[in-house]
Amino acid sequence: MNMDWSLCETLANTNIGDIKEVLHIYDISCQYSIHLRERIEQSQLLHIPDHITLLHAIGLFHVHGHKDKCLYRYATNYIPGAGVIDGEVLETLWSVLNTVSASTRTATLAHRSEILDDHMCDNNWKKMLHIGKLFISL
Amino acid sequence: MRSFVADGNFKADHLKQKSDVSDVWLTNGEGFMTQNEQYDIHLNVAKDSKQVCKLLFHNLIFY
Repeated sequence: MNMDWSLCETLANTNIGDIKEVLHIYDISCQYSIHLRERIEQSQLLHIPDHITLLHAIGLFHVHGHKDKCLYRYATNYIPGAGVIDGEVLETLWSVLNTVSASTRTATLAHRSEILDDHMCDNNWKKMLHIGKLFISL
Repeated sequence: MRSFVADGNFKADHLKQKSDVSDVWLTNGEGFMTQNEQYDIHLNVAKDSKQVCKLLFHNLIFY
């Protein structure tokens, strides 16, 4: 329910433009992808642009905990165009964000939302400033 | 090809107030957050389908 919302909002609001393929890496892609199209068609609010093909994958750390057939269908190693990625970046970002839990614990819901938003924007800003160093080091 | 990573597993640990009215929202849909009205409509309409999960994930997004 929430993941459907978050997926459709992301596709609508991150300037996808003419890009035809989108890789969606999620720990339970093997179950999530089965009825996804039906749920979206049934809902008035959920929408995936017609020109987009959604490819489903599972992060490398988690796919090894699945059945054998999940590995070859959903690991990023076997998806052409995916590149060499492990798809676990969200957890690493969140571990950094966990340090603000001391302040969010004592905040109201609205205030907490502001705090998290500020910290995420700050993370992005710092990444943007330092991304040049990453490329030089490669 | 654009790629997105999604994850669940999230706790909303915050100060609970006596009534929702006392909470003041400064933003509504800006930044990384979602618009409350639209999201609430979706939550009422959408059915949570039972999926057999091998791993336990509780899905929540910021609201």
